[in-house]
Amino acid sequence: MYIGRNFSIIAAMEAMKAYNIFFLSWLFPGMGHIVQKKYLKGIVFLAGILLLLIFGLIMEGKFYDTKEFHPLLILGFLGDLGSGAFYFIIKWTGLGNGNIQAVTYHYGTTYMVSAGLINYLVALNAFDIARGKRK
Amino acid sequence: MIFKSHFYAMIIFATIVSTLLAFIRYDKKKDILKYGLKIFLYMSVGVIAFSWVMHYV
Repeated sequence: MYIGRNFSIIAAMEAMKAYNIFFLSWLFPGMGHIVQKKYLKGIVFLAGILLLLIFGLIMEGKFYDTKEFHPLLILGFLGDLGSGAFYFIIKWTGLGNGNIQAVTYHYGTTYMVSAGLINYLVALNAFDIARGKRK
Repeated sequence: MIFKSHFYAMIIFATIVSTLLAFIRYDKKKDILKYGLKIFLYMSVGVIAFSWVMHYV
């Protein structure tokens, strides 16, 4: 019985670790993999997501906002939020306001929302590795 | 600016996204390369095909 309790405590700690890695990976793209010694993957994810965001900003794309309540805008906002710390940095610096008159505006916005959506997948991958479901 | 061309913007987007998806999905180099190339071709050829369809509709 005592051994069983120990096992459940270990299992709970393992689960907590996996959730912490998920949160870390969401906040800093690629960091969840780097912490688990998957250096190449971590660097590729960080570089790829940063490139998408930088190209999106160069193309004068914008982050979706929640000023108007519309389901599609909310979904876009949730997608953007996937970029973690980069989302907040770009928002606070005012770079993510976009320029609707720019020819590349829609492409830029797509680049930026894709960065967030892919980071959700990256964070889930790091979560699976932490739980031992993937290598 | 290179991004003013829709084609180049799409190619750059497809390259980055296919690389990231391949690294998420697989661990071995060979599998990553194969899957990345497949996704890249699906995206770029698909866009060109749909562009032609939209041109005629």
